[in-house]
Amino acid sequence: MSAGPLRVVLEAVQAGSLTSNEIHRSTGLSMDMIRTSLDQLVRMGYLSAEAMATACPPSGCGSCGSASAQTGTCSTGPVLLGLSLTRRAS
Amino acid sequence: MTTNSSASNFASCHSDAAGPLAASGAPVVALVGAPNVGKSTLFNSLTGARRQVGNWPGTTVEVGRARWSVPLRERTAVPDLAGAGSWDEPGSEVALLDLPGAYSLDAISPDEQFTRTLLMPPDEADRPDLIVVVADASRLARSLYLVSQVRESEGRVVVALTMSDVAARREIEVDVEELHRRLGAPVVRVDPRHGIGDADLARAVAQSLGRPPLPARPRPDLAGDELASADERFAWIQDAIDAATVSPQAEPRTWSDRIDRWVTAPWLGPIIFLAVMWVVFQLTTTAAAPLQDGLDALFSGPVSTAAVAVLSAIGLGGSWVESFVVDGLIAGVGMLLTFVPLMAIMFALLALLEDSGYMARAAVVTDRTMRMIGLPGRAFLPLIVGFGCNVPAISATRVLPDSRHRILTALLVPFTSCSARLAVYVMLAATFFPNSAGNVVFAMYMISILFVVVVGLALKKTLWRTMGRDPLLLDLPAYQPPHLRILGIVTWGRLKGFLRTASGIIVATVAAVWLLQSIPVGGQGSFADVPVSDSAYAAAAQTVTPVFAPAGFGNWEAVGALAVGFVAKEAVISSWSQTYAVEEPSELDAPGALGDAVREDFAQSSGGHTTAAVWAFMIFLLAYTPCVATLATQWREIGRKWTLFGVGVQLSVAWVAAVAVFQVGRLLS
Repeated sequence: MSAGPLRVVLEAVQAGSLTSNEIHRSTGLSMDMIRTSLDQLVRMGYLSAEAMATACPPSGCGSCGSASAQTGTCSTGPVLLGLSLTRRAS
Repeated sequence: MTTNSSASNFASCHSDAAGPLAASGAPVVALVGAPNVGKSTLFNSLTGARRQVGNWPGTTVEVGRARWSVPLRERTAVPDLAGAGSWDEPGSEVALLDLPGAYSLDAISPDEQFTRTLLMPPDEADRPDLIVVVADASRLARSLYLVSQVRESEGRVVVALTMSDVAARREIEVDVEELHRRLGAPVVRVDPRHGIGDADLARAVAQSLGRPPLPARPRPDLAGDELASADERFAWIQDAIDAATVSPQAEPRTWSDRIDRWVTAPWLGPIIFLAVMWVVFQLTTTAAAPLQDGLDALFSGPVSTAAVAVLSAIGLGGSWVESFVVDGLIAGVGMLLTFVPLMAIMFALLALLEDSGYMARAAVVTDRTMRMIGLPGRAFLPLIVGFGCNVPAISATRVLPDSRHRILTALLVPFTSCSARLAVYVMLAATFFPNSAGNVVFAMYMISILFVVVVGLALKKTLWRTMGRDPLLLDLPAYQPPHLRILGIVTWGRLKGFLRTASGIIVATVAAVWLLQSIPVGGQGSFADVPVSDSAYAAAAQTVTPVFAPAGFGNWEAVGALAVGFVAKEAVISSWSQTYAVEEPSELDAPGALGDAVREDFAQSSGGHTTAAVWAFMIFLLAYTPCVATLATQWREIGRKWTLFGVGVQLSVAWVAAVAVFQVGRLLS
């Protein structure tokens, strides 16, 4: 059986595609199908999704001018959805 | 499904129901669909919003239920009645259940688990008589997964297609008849916001109820392979969409897509990133310079003069208190506060990049570069955070699933140049390279990235040769105009952190430095009345000074400042300022005197190769241990052994790089 969209998207992530647009360019799948596939892969545990922020938290940490409580993330700034491979397809 | 449930079965479950769900024996129709497909709007349109809402007994799941009038008697017009429903009364209404939104029957939330249990109960007799799956025509792939799963069991199914207007705006045409053929279930176009299609849906439901249940769609034997099973569903959905829809050849490209094509391009992206950061540092140093000079003049002039006058007035003139206040607090903390405008501009510009969405693209660019050199892909985030502050950056290594990745990244974070180090770069750049301060600061950040890359590769090649790749995908937010309120909040939040540092740990450090500089060593002077060169501070610094002679800054003033910098990098400036204020207080009345004093010492210690020595000093400052808070965080995250190893690496790298830079620079100059 040839690979369906789900496996094609998973393979694109494994091959190093960094954004949905890159997967779209490399596979020709619609963005709707790509996003649905990514959600499904997250649901199935093949990818892990994590909201990430590029900004430091706004309250100080007492040791550095721009830092804050040691959470590593904060609610300001654009949030990235990081998806990382958590298990490999057999 | 040969035996049908009825409203009385379901109604009996509703102990909190305000009244009967529908006429006893009426068929039960379940309305299901992914979140945000317009399911509840359809429910309200079909039932006139006469819903009863309550928790399903024994659960916290909220279910809407209401009577829905459908032309049930029309079902007798359907010729094939074999296997048709056998509910008690073929009346004119059904019991309609509005189930919680569910994308899939593979439940990952209590709501989805509930929907699955209700649609696919262990006992087939408990199933609803018919399932209406609500599907978004503009996002069919997302909506049809539930259809594919529902169709894997025998049962009556009708697909209600919503959002056709949205699909039309996106130039997506859906052939309802073809979709019906592909899905094997009736498809009805509805627009619940305008009540369009409600009658068609009611008719389709009535007709389906009058027919035998649909047979389950055939599937290949996938021998329990979960991924293959899901992939088969996706392939089935793709086939249906390909056959039944016409979409624009290319996805509609937004402005964000157009910009991203350039900004995240493999080669152009890094160049744009570097250019953007260059502009940030140029703007920061250029715009802040006059403000900084003004504050410098304020603290070293009127503020110091006023403090001396007040202390003299209360009889403390010439005492150790005056020494502490003027040479310690005002010289140390005051000098640090002159960097407030610079920090404010820098934080505002970075917040602007973050809020506009650019920083997320920078993360993509950085990540790609890191992958190219073999570092773990996800490590980019802690490293980017590290350019603000190393402490939260090390905490952020928790996002890395592999312990080796966590340790490696936590060891690399101290090489990212935090904003505390920025103040020192700016002071030295303004002193030694006044015409290209922005370029020098920019170069320090590039060197910081170089350190991360080189040290990362070295550790990977020696300690973790088998470290695997960790693919990462980033869902980029659309670009947006920056919000002034958010910029203000973020900038002030970070500036507050800087001020808190200046008023907390730096005051304590200033007091400790002042104390050490007030203790005479070698019999010269008395407490608080001793040349700093004869103090305990200078004596301690001089023991280490020879180590830095090969790097061109073997003077105790610079080495003492670096030692104090272990506490916090901001303290480098305050301790330097204290040292020279005590040493030559009269000369420091003029703005820029600190810079002159530093310049003179570097010229002496480097044998005239000042430029090379300053670069060496800045590079040492960049690479050696950032601060005690970073060490404490490392200790907590990766343990004592790796923390001490990291300190050793940082000091070694810092010293070797500083010596190399000075020696090469000396030869070239």
